[in-house]
Amino acid sequence: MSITGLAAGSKVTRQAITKHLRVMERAGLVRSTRHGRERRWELRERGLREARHYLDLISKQWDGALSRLRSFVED
Amino acid sequence: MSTDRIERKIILKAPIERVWRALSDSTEFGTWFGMKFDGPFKAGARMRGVIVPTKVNPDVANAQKKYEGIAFEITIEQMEPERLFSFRWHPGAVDPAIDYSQEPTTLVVFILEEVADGVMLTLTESGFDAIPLARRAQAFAGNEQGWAIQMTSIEAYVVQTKQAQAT
Repeated sequence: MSITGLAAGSKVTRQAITKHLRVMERAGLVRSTRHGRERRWELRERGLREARHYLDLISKQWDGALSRLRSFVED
Repeated sequence: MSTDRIERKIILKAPIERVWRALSDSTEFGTWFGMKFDGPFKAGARMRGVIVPTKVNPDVANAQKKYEGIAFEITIEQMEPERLFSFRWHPGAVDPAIDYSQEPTTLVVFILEEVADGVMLTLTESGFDAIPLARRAQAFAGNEQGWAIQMTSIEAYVVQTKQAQAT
């Protein structure tokens, strides 16, 4: 998708979208290719899967830590 | 689903001052979390924590054993008594060979709210999208290694039990 396509119908500026996409690109979640004057963006499915898997792991670690906090303050 | 943040809410059946102390006192925080810090928490402080096995849960203490002694850097952001505690750190920075100091951090925020039967604690950690995916992938490499060790010990246990039954 192009930035114009992504920005259509949204209150977010093109600049803001580009900035977010750059961060996501560095993180490996999206990929961009140049088509003439325009840059097109696509999702990297594998990157997204890995990123979610990672968040699940972090969430589980926090669940463990919070349950230890519970035993610590409730006893 | 966001890939940038996680959020958890729990109700703790304890007075708010008790919960606040468990979060804001670095010794108490370390006791349940499994870390030892080099000083008291205060807003803006950059501190070092070293992983020590938690005293709260023996199973977790065992799992943390392999990370014992690994140092973390955390920067305390905000401390609003009995309301909010936040800090920044490098998530999963457990490889001593890597210098994480130049990498982006995530923001961890604890929000306390008094409710009828105790305190509702909301935890968020955000900023994961800025962490390179390769770095994030290392987290499950470590975890899956952990599982591999578990599986090996289960296998060893099963084999031993079978042999014992055969004789």
